[in-house]
Amino acid sequence: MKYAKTLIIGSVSALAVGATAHLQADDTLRIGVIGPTTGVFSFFGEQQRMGVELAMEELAERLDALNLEVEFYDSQGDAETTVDRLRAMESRDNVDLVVGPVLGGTGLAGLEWAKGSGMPTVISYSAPEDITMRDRAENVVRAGWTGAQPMFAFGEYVAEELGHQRIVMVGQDYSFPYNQLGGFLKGFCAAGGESVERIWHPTGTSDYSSILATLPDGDALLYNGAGSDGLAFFQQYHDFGIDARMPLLGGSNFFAVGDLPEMGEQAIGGLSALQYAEGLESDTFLAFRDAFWAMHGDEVMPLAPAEHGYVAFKMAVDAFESANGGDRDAVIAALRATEMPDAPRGPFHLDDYGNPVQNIYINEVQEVDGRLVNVPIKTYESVSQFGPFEAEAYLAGEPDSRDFPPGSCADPYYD
Amino acid sequence: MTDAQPEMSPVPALEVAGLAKSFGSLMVASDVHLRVTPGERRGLIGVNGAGKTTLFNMIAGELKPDRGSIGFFGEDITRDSVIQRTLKGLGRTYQVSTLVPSVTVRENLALARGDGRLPSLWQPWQSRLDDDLMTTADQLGLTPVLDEAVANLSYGTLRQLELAMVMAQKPRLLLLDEPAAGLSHAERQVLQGILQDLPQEVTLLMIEHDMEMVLALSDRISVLHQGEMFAEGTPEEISAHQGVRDIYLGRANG
Amino acid sequence: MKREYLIILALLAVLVAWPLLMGNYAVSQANRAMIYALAALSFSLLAGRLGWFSLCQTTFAGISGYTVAILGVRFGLPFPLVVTLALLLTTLSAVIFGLLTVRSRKVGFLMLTLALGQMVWALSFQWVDVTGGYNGIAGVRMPVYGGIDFNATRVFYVLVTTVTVAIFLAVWRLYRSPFGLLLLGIQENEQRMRALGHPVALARFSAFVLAGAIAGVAGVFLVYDMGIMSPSPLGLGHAVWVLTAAVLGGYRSLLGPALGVAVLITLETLVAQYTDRHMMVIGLVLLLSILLMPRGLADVLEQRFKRKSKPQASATTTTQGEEP
Repeated sequence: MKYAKTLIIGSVSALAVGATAHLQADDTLRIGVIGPTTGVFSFFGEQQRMGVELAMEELAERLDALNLEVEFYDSQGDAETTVDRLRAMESRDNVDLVVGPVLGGTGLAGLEWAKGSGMPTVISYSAPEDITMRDRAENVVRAGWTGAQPMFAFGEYVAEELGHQRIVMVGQDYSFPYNQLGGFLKGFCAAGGESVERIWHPTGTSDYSSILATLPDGDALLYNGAGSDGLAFFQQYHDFGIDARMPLLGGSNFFAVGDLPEMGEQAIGGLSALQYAEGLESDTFLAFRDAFWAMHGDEVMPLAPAEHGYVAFKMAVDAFESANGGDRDAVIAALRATEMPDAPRGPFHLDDYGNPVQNIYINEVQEVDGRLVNVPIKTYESVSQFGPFEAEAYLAGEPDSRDFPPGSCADPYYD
Repeated sequence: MTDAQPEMSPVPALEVAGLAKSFGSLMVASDVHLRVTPGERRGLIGVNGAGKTTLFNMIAGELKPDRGSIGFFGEDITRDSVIQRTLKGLGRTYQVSTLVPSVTVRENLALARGDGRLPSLWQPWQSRLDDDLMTTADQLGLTPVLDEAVANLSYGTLRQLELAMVMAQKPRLLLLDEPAAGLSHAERQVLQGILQDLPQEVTLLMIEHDMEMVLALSDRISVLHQGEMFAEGTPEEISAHQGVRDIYLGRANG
Repeated sequence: MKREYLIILALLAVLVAWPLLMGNYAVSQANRAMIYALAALSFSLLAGRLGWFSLCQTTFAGISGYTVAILGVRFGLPFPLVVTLALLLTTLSAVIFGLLTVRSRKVGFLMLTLALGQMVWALSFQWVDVTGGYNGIAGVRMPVYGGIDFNATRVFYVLVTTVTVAIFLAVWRLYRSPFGLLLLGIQENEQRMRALGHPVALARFSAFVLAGAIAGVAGVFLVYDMGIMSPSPLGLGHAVWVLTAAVLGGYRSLLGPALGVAVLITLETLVAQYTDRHMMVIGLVLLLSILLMPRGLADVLEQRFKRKSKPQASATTTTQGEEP
């Protein structure tokens, strides 16, 4: 019977330990920041964390006044882990507001959880448009962007300013690039473009010779993807010498500053669009960048995920202040009323659906002080997640997919 | 002597005709003929490498012959699978006995008597241990070791378990592959007694190197040599056979 | 026998006490633990009994989860029908996978299940019209019956616990049935089982389908727990996680997989609170435990509790030639 005793004592003490582990007194406000700080996407999570840390330093006095604590959580880039950590925040750690998640899939999982929980949530970099559209929740707002948002402007720019009529798109076969192309097409066709031919390839493709060998003709090629796939495509595109015949345009993350050194001088002049640019020259941006460098070292360039984390955190602190505490409804109301006239990326406010209405920059890769960076050459102001459309009209349409919207601008859809 | 035919019986228990098998260029059986009548105790001898175990493997279905046929109580089983042969009443023991080493003798016994169907997923395994099975186990002296893990059994006990498993199937034809190998003298005596007590209707075909035992147990003895049937006869005939003495007894004894 | 019943009673007591004593997060952790315990049980049924290491048990959970999400959200079918169809479809895919894998052995089986798992994972990504691709299908909710909301953590706990305990008890019986014994026999001496007149291929196949169905149950709970179905649970990472938990706990014993899952989840939660290098710490703990306890935690505990006089009589004792 000895083991039975051991068992019972063991389980009782386990229960006791578990029950007492996280009893916290509650006059503090807590913000939980979640992002992938380990795993293959840790770059994005680390950027967000660095942005939040900068905001914490800058707002230190206000945090003290609010009695506000910050806790970081690792999503590992996994939907399930994200939900688990969110649950821990709410029922174990008494978190009052969530900043994050960062990635697309974890953002949707987080949204799904937030709907059930009612937790005030500021999604930072995660870009699936339905987070603030078809699946929107009252308690969830976004500090960042939707995949289509910068591309409305880019499509317009490509048709209007560059005068390209027929575009060939090669892209990674999943929802983010679908959404990017959707925005591009809607802007492009409205501005007088003719057609976009789509070629999707599975993520993780490293050999593009069969695609490049049978490439249809067009005025320019849009590579709608990023990361190692994008790098491989970039190299092979130039190896095949196709750049001489069709200029290469990029999706929002294609000419990511981290990949530029590897692309080399051939990347100079490369065009893409985003609500952010590391080559911005505004005072607010330079102040942000210099403070970021002072804190984290100037070998790390603050990119969109860092700025979005920084801004999301500021939105949260502002909301607590105007709500005068942690009352959920008041915090949510304050969040939804966010106006950020002095964000590093430029001024923005949230639309009725909780997504920023903001500047979109057409960025060109340039060499500045021996560094390749994206420098804005044109600014489209106050672009919403619906682009040139009315929200109701936009939402009445299908969500973007592999073959929607239509690739021909002559299609009745665009009338 | 290969064409020597024993007394004709209407339906032989086992009729092997023209069986041949080679592995690459190595011929392990060429044109083997063997006829065993029901109820007979037949010894199968031959030097190492004569092809005895290969012949067993072909009869039991574990090895496909290149040529020839195998009849079992008048039925051609040449193309039957191992399970089909087992279900028709062919049982065999193995030279190197293994069974299921990680579990007990009792659990192994519960695995005896497969009937070609999926055993129960819900009943406890003990339900398969009926009186009949336990009697067989007891006759083979397994009662004291029933809860011993098979991995811990002595070699002799393992052979007894091996035999019990096969006997439980109530085979019509029993192939024994060197049942006495590795046993002590006392254990051999026990085994010999057990084999002598087998019901008369069980036909026995036995590979064995212990000549004393073969001569004592067998009604007739077949001699396999270089993949062919070299001689066949009563124990007296075989012990007196000069050719057999030369190739087998001579070497084996000297 | 008595000892086994006692352990089961103690476990049941903990399971009953858990939601009464613990906070919401601990209860939701327990829900996840039980879902993964089912997945690990499904893995262990094959690994422990047949020596078949499968990397596609989480795939079955995924197939089941997707079926629930698609039928429930897209087609709005009622909950009992959704669950029935999900389990049927999962079992059917296990039948198909089983036909493909039943002849294979150790490494061949591992590679085949890896390939099948990766194929389904890729399909879940790319068949956007049906699966929603990378974004998945959101809004999967349990129904509310008679004023009881099954989405509530503690109500969900009662449901998950009841089903999980029932399945573990059923597998407990199965391990002690002639069929369970036969599977062990096939792992150790396939040729002999055939010669004894047992339908070896059919037994293997049945075990595979059964394990697939158990994983299917895990998948149903998984999707309702998450509220969203995306390709992520079908990824290789999850398959390896389940394998790790089963090996850590001891895939040869009934409770080993559950124990492994509980330990791994606890470890992840605790370590993640204190350091960012939690993956390294967990990796180190795993390395040490597998070096020191190659047969898993359950085995170590069993040896400790085992009375010396009692002979080795359980189906979980050692195989020849392995270090204890």
